[in-house]
Amino acid sequence: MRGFIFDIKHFAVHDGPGIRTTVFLKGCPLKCLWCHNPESIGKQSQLGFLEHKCTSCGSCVRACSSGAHTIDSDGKHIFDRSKCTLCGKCATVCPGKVLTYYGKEAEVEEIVADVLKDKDFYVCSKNGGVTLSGGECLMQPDFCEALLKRFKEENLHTAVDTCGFVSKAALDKVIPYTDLFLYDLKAIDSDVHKRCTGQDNAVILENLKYIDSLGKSIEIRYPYVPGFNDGEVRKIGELLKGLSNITRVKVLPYHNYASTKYKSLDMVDTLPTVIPADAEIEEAKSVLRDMGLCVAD
Amino acid sequence: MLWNTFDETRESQNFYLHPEFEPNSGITDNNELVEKIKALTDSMRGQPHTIIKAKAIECLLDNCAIEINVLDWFGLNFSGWQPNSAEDVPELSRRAIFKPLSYLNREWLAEIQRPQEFIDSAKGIAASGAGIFGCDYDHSVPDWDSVIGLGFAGLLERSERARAEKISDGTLTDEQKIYYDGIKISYEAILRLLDRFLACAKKHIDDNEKMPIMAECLENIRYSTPKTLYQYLMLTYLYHLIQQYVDIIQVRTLGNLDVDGYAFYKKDLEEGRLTRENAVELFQFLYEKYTNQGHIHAQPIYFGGFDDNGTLINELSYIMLDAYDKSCIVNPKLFIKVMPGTPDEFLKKALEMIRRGRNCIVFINEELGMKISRKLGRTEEETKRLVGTGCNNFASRGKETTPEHMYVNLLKGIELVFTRGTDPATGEFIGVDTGDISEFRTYEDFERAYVAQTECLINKAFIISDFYDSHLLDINPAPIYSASMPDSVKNGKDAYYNGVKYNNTVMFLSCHASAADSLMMVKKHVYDNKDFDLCTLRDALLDDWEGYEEMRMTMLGDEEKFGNDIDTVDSIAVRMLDHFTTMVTSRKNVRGGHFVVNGESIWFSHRWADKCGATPDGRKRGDLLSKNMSAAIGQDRHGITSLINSVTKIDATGLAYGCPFDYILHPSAVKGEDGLDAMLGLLRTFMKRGGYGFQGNVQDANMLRDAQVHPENHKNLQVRISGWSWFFTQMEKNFQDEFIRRAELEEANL
Repeated sequence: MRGFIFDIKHFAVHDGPGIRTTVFLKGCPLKCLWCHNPESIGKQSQLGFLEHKCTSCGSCVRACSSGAHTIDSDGKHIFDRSKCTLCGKCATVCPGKVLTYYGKEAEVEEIVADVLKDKDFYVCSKNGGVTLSGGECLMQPDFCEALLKRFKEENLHTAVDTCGFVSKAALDKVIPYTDLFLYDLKAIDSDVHKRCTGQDNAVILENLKYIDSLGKSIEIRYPYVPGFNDGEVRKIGELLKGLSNITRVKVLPYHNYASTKYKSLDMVDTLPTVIPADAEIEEAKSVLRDMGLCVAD
Repeated sequence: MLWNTFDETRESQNFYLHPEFEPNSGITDNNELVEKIKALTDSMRGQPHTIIKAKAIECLLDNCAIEINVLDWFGLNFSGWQPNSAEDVPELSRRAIFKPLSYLNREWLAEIQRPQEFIDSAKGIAASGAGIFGCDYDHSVPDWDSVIGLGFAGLLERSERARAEKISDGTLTDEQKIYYDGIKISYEAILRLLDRFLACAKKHIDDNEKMPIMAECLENIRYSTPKTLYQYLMLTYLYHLIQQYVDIIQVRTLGNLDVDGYAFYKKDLEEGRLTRENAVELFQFLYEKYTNQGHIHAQPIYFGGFDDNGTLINELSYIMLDAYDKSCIVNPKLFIKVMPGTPDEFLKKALEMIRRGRNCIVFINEELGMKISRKLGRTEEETKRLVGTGCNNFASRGKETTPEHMYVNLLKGIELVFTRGTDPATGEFIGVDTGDISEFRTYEDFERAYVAQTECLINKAFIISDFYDSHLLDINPAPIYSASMPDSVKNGKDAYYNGVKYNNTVMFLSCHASAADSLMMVKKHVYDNKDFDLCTLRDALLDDWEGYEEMRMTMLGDEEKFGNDIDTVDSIAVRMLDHFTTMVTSRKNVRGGHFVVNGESIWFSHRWADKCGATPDGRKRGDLLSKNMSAAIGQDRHGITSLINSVTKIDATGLAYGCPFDYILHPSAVKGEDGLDAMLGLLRTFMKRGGYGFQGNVQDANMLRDAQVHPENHKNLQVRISGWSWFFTQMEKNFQDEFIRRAELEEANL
């Protein structure tokens, strides 16, 4: 079986316990304003171009059969996206990795082989293993099921990083093979959620309760974005208090490192401008801790 | 006050640079002292060098001025030797320590006529960056069991007993008599020096509360053996000072202080002499001595080990780390032996320090060390008690001397294939003629030529090493060191020459990753893909890629390089290293031992950069070569796990005398408790996969750049250089730039 991914990251330390490999699947139903993986949102391939790092060496011009890459009279590389067929050849020859192709069809076994290269690291670190992430990985539920099934056959610890905006049927496919859910919770207030992600959160909250009711371990990840969802701390705490299998809550301070990526993908940069102060994050953590939740450092 | 005085007296503890010698205790001027010794040794020309050296030691120790800093638990010093100050020698990498008797070994080395074979072999090697060589006295470990168990007087007694036995059974040879005389003269002088220190301490007994305790300590060290932790540490301090700066045989570890000092510490606690906090402070005082001696490669101390009951990590191990952490220093350097049973808690404590930039710590795989030990034919008893020595390697305890005279650059052979053995920059013919490259039909032809060039360099290294090895006794006889080594004393033979059980010689085979990358690029782009022909590549390399930028970018940008867990190229590195290490280790040296291999590049990856022309991996002349076991700079693009997978494919038992792996991690990748667990996971995996040494930096480029511009804000920032660390702001700019570049590349991979 084949799926559509955009990256495999080894030594992923913050996507579940221990040392992990994270497989990033492409496509996401939400459009979070602060998304730091804009290349993950679209279901199609994309080409990133870091114009400021380009040396105009001309390798891409020779590789491109559609004339999307040219060198102008000043010797400067010009990339005309309207002519690009997204074949990706230019990215394979770009010596400085200035052009990056996001999106790749991959076979289950191809991914399993890559993930297994680091098996020793999973064994030697606390519950290390593999995480499926995205985008929203459960937009490709059959592929996820096939992958997770194989990972369990290899005795790997498995985690699924989900925004929860998926069908119950998709969840049911992966639940038997998932040791830990990394569950994103952006807001409890429906209006806040819609404003931040473009979608209502009723399904998300329902799915969270459903997974919890099945006794699955869940780590909550709350991206803290000042001016957007920073008023949700207590509401999130209240909800989580009523659940039984929340192993940990992680407050993720928003950062704007991704702005170059938006530019390189020619996407509209929706990133908020205010970065949370350390003290704000500590305050949010301490509120959640005081509500009896296990909060990560 | 006895305790809580470290911080307030810290400045005064740096007395080596500005000593305040006891009035009328001897000659304070180092030049005058050396002139006096020189007059004596000049008058002794023709006598055995061992006796001349011993008499020089005697003259030095009898005539030097002495100093006791009453505020410092280890405040003993004598004139003659002295570190360079930062004012005298601003470049940290060039700072050295003046040793009063080093003129002797310089003269004796110069007097020896070089055989033609040596001259031919050495010609052009250093200038071309094909290797580096020199007579080495920097790699030995005294038998600390003997030193601590017998004390100075006891070492002398043991030597005299051995002499008496030989006299009584009628076997004492003239050479042995000279050997025992050398020890007798030297150690009697040491005891007289101790008498002077003791008298001085008694004279100042009322100056400070510490002095009665110091006097008691010196009394024990003079006449007997240490009875407390303080006395034990004082003995290691004094012994080190004398062997390293008087005998000029570097002490490559101060010992297994946590394990060997533990019984003393427990007794001190039980008898109320010391608290845990006092012990931390005592170690701070001790460490400060080595900090102030300023040896740029730092003085090693090793931790841990195991016995039948498991790990030997104990409370003192934690105390020693606490002291190190509090002092924020880079000398001494710490060396942690790791077994599966080494407690996670201890390793995490050290890793947490590294994460905060206290990174003068290396972890060494003791299971691997044992495997190597058995492969080298050491006994089980020896194998269980390995000494952690030098930057990051193992030696058998009290039975081994391993000089390191020669480094071979594994990349150079690539360049020589294209030029048929002639170094393009110097015009010297240093390799072999491996034929016209236009006639190389297959990649195997090219690889064979590379192997032939490198074998030629290794053969030259054998000849150079043999020359130094065969003259060690003439150049620098070592009576002080020898008396510590039981086999040497028993045999009546100098321990630095051939008196111990294992008289091996180390050869360094360095920069394997750059060599493997270059071979891979030739294989792939010239022979497999036929992107370029070999002659065009030669033209590009000889022109330092000028006019061939696209070709260079293809080679440089190709990810099929060592460090990315790609079998095609990793297998080239494995095959080359297997071949060359087998060649080296099959060769006997001239001292009754074998050649053994170390895979480090130390800082030659830097120093050879300008001497090595462009290479097929995309390097230009002047670009760095690969460092230690790691990938070439910027070539490991798939993260640290892939890098470790590549590195641990290499059979580290072949690189028996060290092959550290240098990691660089971005702080964000290892933040929080999860990050610390991940660091531990990396370390444990590295060890499980048979890696040797694990050392490195956790840093981000922004901080380094800021430190370069505002050094005043980053005084404590440490960076791991190779088998040692330095303070970043004290380094020369070109070294700083290298670290910034590495950090930038790591960030690009995040």
